Amino acid sequence: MRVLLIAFRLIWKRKLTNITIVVQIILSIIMLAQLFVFVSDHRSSVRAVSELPVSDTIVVSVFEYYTMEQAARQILATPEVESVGKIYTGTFFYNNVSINLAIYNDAIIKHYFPNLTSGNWLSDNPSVDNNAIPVVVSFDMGLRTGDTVHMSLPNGDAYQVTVVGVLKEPTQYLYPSGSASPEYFSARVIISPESVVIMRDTDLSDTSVFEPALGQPAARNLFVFINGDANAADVEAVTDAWRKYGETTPMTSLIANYVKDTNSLIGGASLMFIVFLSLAATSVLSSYLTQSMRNRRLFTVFYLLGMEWRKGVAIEICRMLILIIITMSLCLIAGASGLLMLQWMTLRSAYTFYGIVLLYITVTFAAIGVRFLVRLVREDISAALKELQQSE
Amino acid sequence: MLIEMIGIEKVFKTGKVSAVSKILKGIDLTIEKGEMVAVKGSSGAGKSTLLHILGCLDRPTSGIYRLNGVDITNESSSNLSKIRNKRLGFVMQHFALVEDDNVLANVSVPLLFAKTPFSQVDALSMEKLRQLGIDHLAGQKVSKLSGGEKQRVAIARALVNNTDIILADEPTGALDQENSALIMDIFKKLNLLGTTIIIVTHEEFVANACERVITIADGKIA
Ligand SMILES: Nc1ncnc2c1ncn2[C@@H]1O[C@H](COP(=O)(O)OP(=O)(O)O)[C@@H](O)[C@H]1O
Ligand SMILES: [Mg+2]
Repeated sequence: MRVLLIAFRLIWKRKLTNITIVVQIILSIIMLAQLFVFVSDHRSSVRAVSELPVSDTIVVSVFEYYTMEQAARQILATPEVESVGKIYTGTFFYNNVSINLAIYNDAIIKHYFPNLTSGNWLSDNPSVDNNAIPVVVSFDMGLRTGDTVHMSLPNGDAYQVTVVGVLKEPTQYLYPSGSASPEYFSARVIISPESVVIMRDTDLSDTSVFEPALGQPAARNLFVFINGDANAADVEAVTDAWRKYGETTPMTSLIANYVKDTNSLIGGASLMFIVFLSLAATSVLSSYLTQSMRNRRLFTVFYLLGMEWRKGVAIEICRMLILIIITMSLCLIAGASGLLMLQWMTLRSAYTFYGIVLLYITVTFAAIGVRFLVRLVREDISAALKELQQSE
Repeated sequence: MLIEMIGIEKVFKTGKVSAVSKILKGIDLTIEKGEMVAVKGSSGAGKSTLLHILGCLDRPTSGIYRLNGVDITNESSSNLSKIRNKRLGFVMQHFALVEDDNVLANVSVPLLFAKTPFSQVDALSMEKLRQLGIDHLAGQKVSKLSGGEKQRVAIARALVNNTDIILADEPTGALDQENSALIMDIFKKLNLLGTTIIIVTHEEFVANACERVITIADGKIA
């Protein structure tokens, strides 16, 4: 117990240094959290992008001077085209909260299968009560498969909807607002993370009453699905011809670009983080080392006064453990108070994150602590005594 | 006989290879209880090395060391620690104090290792400080004190467990004449009260103040 007491006293004695060390470590952990969120965010976007319909899909970003209907009609007239996917966007109010509304036509529903936590996708023609409209909703809306509720348009029109499926968390679904040209393409353009209600256009008598959500541009993207037996040269030729309606890009190249850009972004951020972390670690290590060296002289004095040499080792281990526990507790507090952005992580990545944090803290303290301990254990006492003969 | 050394040798490894040098080459020495002994010798003669062995800080390479008639040459480090703590007090040239702690905390350290109940620690430490006339310094940081004051704190610490042997290594080496005289005065008084005192020195006046002088030369007692 005296060992523990002395360890606490040693930490208290150099409290300023120790506070600096702990703060530095916590700051780098907050940075680590940011990187972690950034990386897992991008990784989930990459995952969502990989769910997009790719095989023989071409995205046409329609110019403003064509209406979507005109462009769709022209493109559909091409023999190589199997169908044209369209998405109407709008707003629904549910419990007085506005929620994105995405209305998919049959072509989209047939080619696109988002991940669900429960229920069925709209392509399974789920049967519901006569008056209700089958919908798939995002998880965060708190609805369950089978629930039937009322939702309304901004103009007050009420709809009865029945939930047939619930999207997986984090929410990701096809929501084509803005441009899909390769330079601007990001998962955010084509994948939305917001709350959503998805329905089929065939379940609605009139889609013209739906308007894009406030602040969202009208969808300008058509998803053109090519016939499986069309030959590549012909497809290239007709794709060229559509350039007058809008920018055309194969889905595969959009995705490839996106994944490449995301990976280099993650690489860059990680590199920056590693540089910062090594700087922080170097400064932590050097002040911890100085402290340990000063403790060595202290232990020699203690030895003189009747401490066993190996008690010094025990004190040093305790000091290391106490600092690890303090730092880790502060991290848990920081996490609980939202500083570590854990709210953006799934439970599993939050646990992984804490695991990494514990590893980082332990390695940082142990890196010097253990080296110092090994020296202390192997110490030739007469050498330490000789040093004590010199003035401090 | 309080202390008895027979044929004590000490070999140090020098450098990285297996080169060795024998610093003590067979020391035979007896010291009675209540003696005040000076150990003289040129620099590097092995005075401190001998003091470290006398003080159970280091072990001899060979030979026999008896304390109160008990052979402690091969005693466990745990028991040697207890002997250092309870029976031996060290006074070093550069004080070996914890500079950034206050005087009272410094004097209490041996009590901490002796597992003295916390309730008694301060009182016992203050008593020794009073005995040395420095109780007014109790709350002062050691780094703020003069050399003479520091050495008196060191002596208070050496005595706090009511030790019966004081081992001093050049205790006046870092002090001016006036303070050196003061410290020697304190040693004399302690000796009169029955404390055995062994002082390593190369200063004539320190040796002259002791009743017995031992000289080490060429690894032996001359
Ligand atoms: N731990 C050690 N390792 C190697 N050599 C040592 C060690 N301690 C002392 N020595 C050597 O032993 C000799 C005697 O040292 P010391 O006892 O300190 O002499 P002094 O009589 O000046 O106190 C010196 O040459 C010193 O260099
Ligand atoms: Mg010496």
